[in-house]
Amino acid sequence: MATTTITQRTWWDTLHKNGRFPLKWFLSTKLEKKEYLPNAIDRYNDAAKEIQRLLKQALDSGEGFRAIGSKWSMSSIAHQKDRMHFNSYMNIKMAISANEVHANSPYKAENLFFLQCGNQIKEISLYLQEKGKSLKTTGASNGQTIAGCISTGVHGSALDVGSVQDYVVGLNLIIGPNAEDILYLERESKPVLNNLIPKKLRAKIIRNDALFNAALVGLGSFGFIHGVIIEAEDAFLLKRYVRKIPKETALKLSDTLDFKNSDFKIAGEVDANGKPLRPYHYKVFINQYSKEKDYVVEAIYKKPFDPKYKEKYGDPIPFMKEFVYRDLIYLLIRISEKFPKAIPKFVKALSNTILPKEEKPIVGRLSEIFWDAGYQGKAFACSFGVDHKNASKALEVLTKLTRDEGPIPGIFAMRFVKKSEATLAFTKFPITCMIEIDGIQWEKSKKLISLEEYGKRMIEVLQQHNIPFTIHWGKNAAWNFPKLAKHMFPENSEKWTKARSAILSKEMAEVFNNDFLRKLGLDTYHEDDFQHLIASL
Amino acid sequence: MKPSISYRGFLLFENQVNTHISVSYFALYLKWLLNPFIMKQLRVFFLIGISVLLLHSCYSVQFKVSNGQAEPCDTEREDWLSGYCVRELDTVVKVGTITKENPINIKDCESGALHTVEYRNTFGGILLYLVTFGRKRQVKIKYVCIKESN
Repeated sequence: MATTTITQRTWWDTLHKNGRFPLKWFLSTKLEKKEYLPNAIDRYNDAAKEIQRLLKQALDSGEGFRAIGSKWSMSSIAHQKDRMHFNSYMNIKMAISANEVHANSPYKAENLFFLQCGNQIKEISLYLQEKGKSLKTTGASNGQTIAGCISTGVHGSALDVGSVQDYVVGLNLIIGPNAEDILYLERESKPVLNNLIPKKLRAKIIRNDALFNAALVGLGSFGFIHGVIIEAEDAFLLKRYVRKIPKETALKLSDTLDFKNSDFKIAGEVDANGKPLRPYHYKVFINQYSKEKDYVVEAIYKKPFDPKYKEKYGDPIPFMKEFVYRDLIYLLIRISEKFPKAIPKFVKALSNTILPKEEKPIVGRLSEIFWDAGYQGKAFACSFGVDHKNASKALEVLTKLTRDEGPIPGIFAMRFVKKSEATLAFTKFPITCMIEIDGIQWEKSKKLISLEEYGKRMIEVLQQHNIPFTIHWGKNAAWNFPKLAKHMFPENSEKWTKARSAILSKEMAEVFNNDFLRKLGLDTYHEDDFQHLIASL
Repeated sequence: MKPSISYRGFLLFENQVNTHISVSYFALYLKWLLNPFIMKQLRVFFLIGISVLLLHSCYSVQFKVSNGQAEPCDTEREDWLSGYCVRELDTVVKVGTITKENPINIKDCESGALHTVEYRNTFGGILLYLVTFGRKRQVKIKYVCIKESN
């Protein structure tokens, strides 16, 4: 049977060292070996039993329990002071066959795949590749687990696709230690599975749009996401261009996303009338300390798959990638803490290694274009979502703050993502512009504000300028800012807590709670009767 | 040949008449060279030279496969392998005079495949290889397995 290693700990940290956070127990479950339990469903159910045993332990000892994936989040969303469960070894993958698909399903069976929670984006991509399929989008890299991605809303810059959670169409949740605590949840409006697979999983079926949308971006608090069903698509290629274009053009495009009537034209990426095509992905890089008249932009176009793409265009994965020495960056940061005025110069000096270079277009699969991102030191990232129509206004406000009250050792970028149906998706606008600043962590000094103060000021200036915004759940922010969740999601924050109360018992809601949720006031439990939601279909 | 100049235990010889002048210059040069201040400077240069030599003979090379998922781990590493299960092998392989070694067996990759290997070469390793005429070889590697597929 599946085995769990339990280690006593005093603290835990994120991959990018944004902690340290106190911790009592670190748990890691490995599946039974295939030679002893060859059937994938049997191994999956065996793991479910083990998770239920661990949940019972947590419940009985009055402690919290939280699943974590690759710990890429920089906020404390993944942290739970009592028990943290490392999911990464739980990586069963199964294709769905036609006889398992619901009669009214809008999805093709060949595109549906059942993935256990710990599957990482890269291994999913490799698995799908063998079947001639691809994920629809990923984040900028590939190390996150699928459950981690959807719980925090990981996104790329796919204008018309959305975030990772937007191609998840079914959820298998474990909400407690009892036999009836295994759920299979999907939308009523877009059913996926008939009863065959849920029956094998001994799962109770709930088809309900509101519950599904709430659980989709569940912040790790909607029970244990044991598995998900994704909708993949046929393999495709992406052609990536990097160009320097005038600031005005880049910003106008950000506000309008009207590529057709834009001055930004790439030879070969035009329609029959010679008008620019709408890219699959558009990203703008901004060095807020530079007075250059141009911005670097990345435009990626979707192309039909061609098995000979490497012969035609070369290998998209570099033979070797060079990085700036971490020690050098840390040294620059230490200098910056004493002499903040040096930061713009350092950012400029490093910009050649930070910003993508204008070079010949690269062609590859989604998984090759958004490839491995190695650990490069203690990093921070703040990321705000605004309606793309407010993109240039919000950027101006945030970059001005960064120059005037900083400087801060990082640079800005803007990515654009289609609206998500998830209740607490920070990609809530028709097309959300994610304005993000990434950089290396620094220490507060007499001359340099802290990351916490900076995060707070970012929220304040956006509020002062009446720009509606959201914040990426997995990034750094002043998460204890008063009434933040309510401000970002005036109606949906309560919809979400109600849905959570409908799914979880009060005791289990507390088990799946953490400080992140409490800070945001999203731990509210509603005692109302929500049985009508759960009983749905 | 009689010694003509002696300086701090060094004996210098005059072997040709026409070297009189150059010997004098050489003596001056030696005097300058053996001056305590210059000696100190030379020691510094010597140490820098040796350090450069040692640094150049101590390096690592990393390899990784592009089409595989590395085995993840919750570690607190802060190097490029942060987030992965890193195993280390630090040993000396002995080879007989008339025998040849087989590959080192790596038994702890449950997937049966390697994702990443970092090979480190050190000055000590090179020296050991030289003085034992290749019979002892220092092996310092870090490796990450491919994540087991399910």
